[in-house]
Order: sequence, then structure tokens, then C-alpha cells
Amino acid sequence: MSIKPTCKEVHRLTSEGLDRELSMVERARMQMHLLTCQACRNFTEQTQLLHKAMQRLSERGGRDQDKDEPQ
Amino acid sequence: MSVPPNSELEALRPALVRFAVLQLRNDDAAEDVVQETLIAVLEKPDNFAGQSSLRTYVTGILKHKILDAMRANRREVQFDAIIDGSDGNDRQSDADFIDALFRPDGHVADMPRRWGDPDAALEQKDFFRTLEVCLEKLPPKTARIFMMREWLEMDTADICRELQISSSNAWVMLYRARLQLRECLDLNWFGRHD
Repeated sequence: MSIKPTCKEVHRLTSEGLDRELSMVERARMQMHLLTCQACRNFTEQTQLLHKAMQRLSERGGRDQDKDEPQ
Repeated sequence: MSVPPNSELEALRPALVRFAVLQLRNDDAAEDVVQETLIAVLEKPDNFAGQSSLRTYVTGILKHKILDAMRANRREVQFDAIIDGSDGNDRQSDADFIDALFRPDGHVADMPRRWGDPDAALEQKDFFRTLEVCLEKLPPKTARIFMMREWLEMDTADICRELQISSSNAWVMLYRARLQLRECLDLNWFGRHD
């Protein structure tokens, strides 16, 4: 682990944050990096969208209008 | 609440089969679990009473059936015996896939482009079709673990127990899955719908 968090570390933590509790140090390093890195902000946003999409797929197999509503 | 008509259940079948295939990676096994699911719904129609939607209810049952099938299958096929990478070395191929996205100093090699209004995508049925296609393109092992985590919504500890892998190994595989899915959506959805 270098002193300054890199995109590589922050990308990894973005993903791992969905699978485990990050430590306070890890969260702080991420926040610090995200303040100045548009690339990682984009990646974080996109990972969150993917996660939301999967939740929707998991609950009901797609978007709202896809459910079995009366025709 | 009345018994859901067969036609409504049958209409759900194709989607159920697609999810079962994504998770089990075996067409016959997928057909079997879907069949068992539909039978379970028909046998106990009263359980459906008060549920939000038939699709949600049936999907819940399908998940249980898939989990049962994976557990039964575990005795026959060791997860570690399934090989993803063409070189037969999964861990290396995960690491290579990840490394390729970064420069040696740890910066991203390519700036991920902005995705316009990402939430609007969630309102479009075609977006979910694209997502499914991207899931189908993942290597089988990667897809299975990702689906366990984000579709079956199992926690990482259960996944590791189920697949007999370490948590760090699970995190790497899930990370790789997300990277590849992000890239696939970027190319096949957001690149086209700006």
C-alpha cells in the first residue's frame, strides 16, 4: 500500500465495499482519492448503478412495467 | 386470492429459464429447476395470497430451487474443477484482466466515460436485456459467483462455504465480474444511448 491511494486501489475498494465492511482507513483513503479523481467517481457511480440494476433484476426480473400487471 | 392462471405462469417461463441458466450454466438443470418451481407454485396456490406480484413470488421460489440444485450438484462437480481461463489458470487471468485496466503507477489506463443519466437506464426494459447478455458473456465461474452474490443475494461468507474458496479469492472474482460487466454495458448500452 503506497502513501497516496491509487485508482487501482480505489477501484478495488469500490467493488469490495459491496461485499464486505471496509475499514475506517480504507474508507478515508477512498474518500480522499475520490475528491480529486473524476475517473474513480465515474467508476463508483457505474458500479452502484450495476448493483441497483442487479437488485431490480433479483427482485422482479427487470423494470417496473415488466411485472405482471393487468393488460 | 385466486390461483394464478397457467397462462400467466407460462408467460414467465422464458425469463425464469434464462436466470436459471445464468446461475447453473446447464440447460437441462435449468429446465428442471424451472419446472419444479412452476409445480411448487401450482401445488400451493394459497401461498401466493397477498404477495406483491406473481413474478416476484415465483422468482423467490426459483431462487430456493436453484440453491438446492447447486448444493446437490456440489457433490458431483467441484467448483475449483471448473476452468474459466483458456490457459487453465483462473487466478492469473483475473489478475491480468484487472491489471490491464491500469498503468504501472496505478492510474486508470482509460478514463471511464460518463454515463449520462444512469438512472434512466433502469426504466428501460431493453437495458435489462443488455445486462442479461453481458452476464451471459462472463466466464462461467465468474458468472456463477456474481449471480450468487447479486442475484441470489447470498453473503460472501456463505458463498465461500458453498464454493470452498477463500474470501479474498471471492472478492477478486466479484471485482473482475463487475469490471467486465461495466465494460460490457459501457460498450453495448451507454456507448449507443448517449
